[in-house]
Amino acid sequence: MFHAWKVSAVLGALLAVGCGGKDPTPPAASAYAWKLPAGFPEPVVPGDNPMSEAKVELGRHLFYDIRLSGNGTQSCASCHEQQRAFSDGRVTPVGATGDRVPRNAPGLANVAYLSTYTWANPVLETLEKQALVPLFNEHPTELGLTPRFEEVLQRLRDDARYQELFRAAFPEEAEPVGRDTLVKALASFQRTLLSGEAPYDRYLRGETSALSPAAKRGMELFFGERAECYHCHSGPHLTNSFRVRDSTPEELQFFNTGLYNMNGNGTYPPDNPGLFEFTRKEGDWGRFRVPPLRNVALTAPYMHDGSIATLEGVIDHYMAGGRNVTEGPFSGDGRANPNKDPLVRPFTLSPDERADLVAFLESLTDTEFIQDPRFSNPWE
Amino acid sequence: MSAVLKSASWWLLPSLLLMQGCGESEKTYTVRFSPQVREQALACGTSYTDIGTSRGVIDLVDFRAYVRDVTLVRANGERHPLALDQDGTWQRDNLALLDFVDGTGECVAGNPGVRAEVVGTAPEHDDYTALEFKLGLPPERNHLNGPIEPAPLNAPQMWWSWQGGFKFVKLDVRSRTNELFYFHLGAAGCTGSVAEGYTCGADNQVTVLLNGFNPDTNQVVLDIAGLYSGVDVERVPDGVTDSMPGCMSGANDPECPLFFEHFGLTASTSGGPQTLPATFFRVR
Repeated sequence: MFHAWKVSAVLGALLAVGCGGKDPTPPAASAYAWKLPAGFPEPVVPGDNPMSEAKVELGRHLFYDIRLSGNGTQSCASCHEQQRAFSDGRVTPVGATGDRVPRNAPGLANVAYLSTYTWANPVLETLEKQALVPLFNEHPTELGLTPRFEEVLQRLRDDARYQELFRAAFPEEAEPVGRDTLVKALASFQRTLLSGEAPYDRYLRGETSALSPAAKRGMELFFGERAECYHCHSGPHLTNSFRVRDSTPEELQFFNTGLYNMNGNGTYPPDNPGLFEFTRKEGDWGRFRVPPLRNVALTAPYMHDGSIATLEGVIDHYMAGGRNVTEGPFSGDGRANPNKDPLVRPFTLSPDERADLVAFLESLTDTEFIQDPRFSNPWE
Repeated sequence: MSAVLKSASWWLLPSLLLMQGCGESEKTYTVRFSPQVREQALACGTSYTDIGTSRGVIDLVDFRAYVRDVTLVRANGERHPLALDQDGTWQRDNLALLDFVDGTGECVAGNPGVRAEVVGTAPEHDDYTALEFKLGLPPERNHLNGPIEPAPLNAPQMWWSWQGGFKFVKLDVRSRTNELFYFHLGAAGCTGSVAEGYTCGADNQVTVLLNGFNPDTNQVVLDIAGLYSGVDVERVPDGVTDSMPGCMSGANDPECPLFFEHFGLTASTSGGPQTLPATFFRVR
């Protein structure tokens, strides 16, 4: 994968020049100082939204501002809290107007590197497009801008601090407060949410004492052929949904992990069909994007619907080769789901080994990331 | 492809007419749409009874639609697409937004601006006897929803970011048991990217042909009593076989086929044009 993006870098640069948008000379890669963690490659950035300090700063203000919801009750940070690595601790979130959102709020560490956004949507290929969903979706309503969009824009225009921030971030726009600038700024801020200072990162950089003996044993299990975690949780952020600047597009991958099997025909609860919603192929029921595992100990509960409370519970799920739902409306033996990935099959860990695996997952917690003032609420 | 050619051909129309000189004179035609419940006008702030299989009561919450390629057809079959007034608000190119909610009553997402007509010019003839139009956006124009597009594509209610496109028809009502009972028609089951193009499991393209339509005297009735005739607006989804009151063009939604039949569509396939029943669309 790394080779691929290096080889294609020249071609990518040529394509970028050839695309000919408004600006004939796209900004050089060095125009923005990324402050990347050691060993992190440069993330992909859409050609029409180059990074700038001013956009990041505006996006940070917007991310934490409850005025960026129709009824002024929630911000992005309501479901993406820094101390939880930008997840929310709930099974599933509740939107500004009380709507239940069907899928668990994911953490945002290193989202800049994901190939697609949200749990199973293959068309949300940029953070800009993704931001439109919580901002404007009505069913379910998350931030609820749609019915009061002009009012929301006016709130921002009336604030002297935003007048400055928008003008600095989008100096070329006559009216800088609008839908496009909102999502561009939010995306720019999120691309800076880089987590690379966990004990695991220090270990990879040669600090062999950074991992406890238990975490090291857990790492062997994680990358070994018994637990097989690494087949899907691969790459620097422990997900195979990964891309960097100028990388060639990879085939998108979504997997069924045997959480449900309603009526024995492979279906999942109807508000969470997974990739099937978009491809309409029966074999895509229950297929979801592999979540990255950085800071995973901070982002409980787990799975697309938050239906497993703890890391131990997740490991038990995979040790059983899926989940047999024995009662309730969603009953069915997920272990026998016809769409289940073949690598999700039973294996055995001793209690100590299971604890070791948890210790490894906890070594992915980056305490600097969750305390970094650059990512904190600028209104406090 | 044919849609592209068709739109290109009517772009040429004005220049062809100029070349012809004073052959036939142009006239402004207004194609009027009438949202109704049976014979009664549908409006915000009024309750309507005897709706659907449970004979439920509904209030309108939101009702908008995109129409395009609005074409008058003469008795001899000659077709004249309206060259739409480019008004900067409701109409652009060959596309027009209809907006039937004025912000009163339960129509909380509406604003005072309503629009129930499409205005454009066509050669003046006294024997226009049919009307044809399409719903929504064509596939090649539906997925450009990156940077904001000019009116009438700037209505946030019609953005469908989740499916990477626009809603074609949005009709939301309140019933006694469902705070919102949805009907959203649009291209669904889509995969792809702006760079590589999109394919959709259901493009949900609808062409409506109404015979017996004189633009000077007739209107297009959109009868939601007909549209809801096969569904139960009071059915609360059980969360097991159905997660949503109404239909958002999903492949696994049991209510979608009951809506789609009024558009000549099937829920699970990319249905081509079919004969439409005179349930939702008819001439008044």
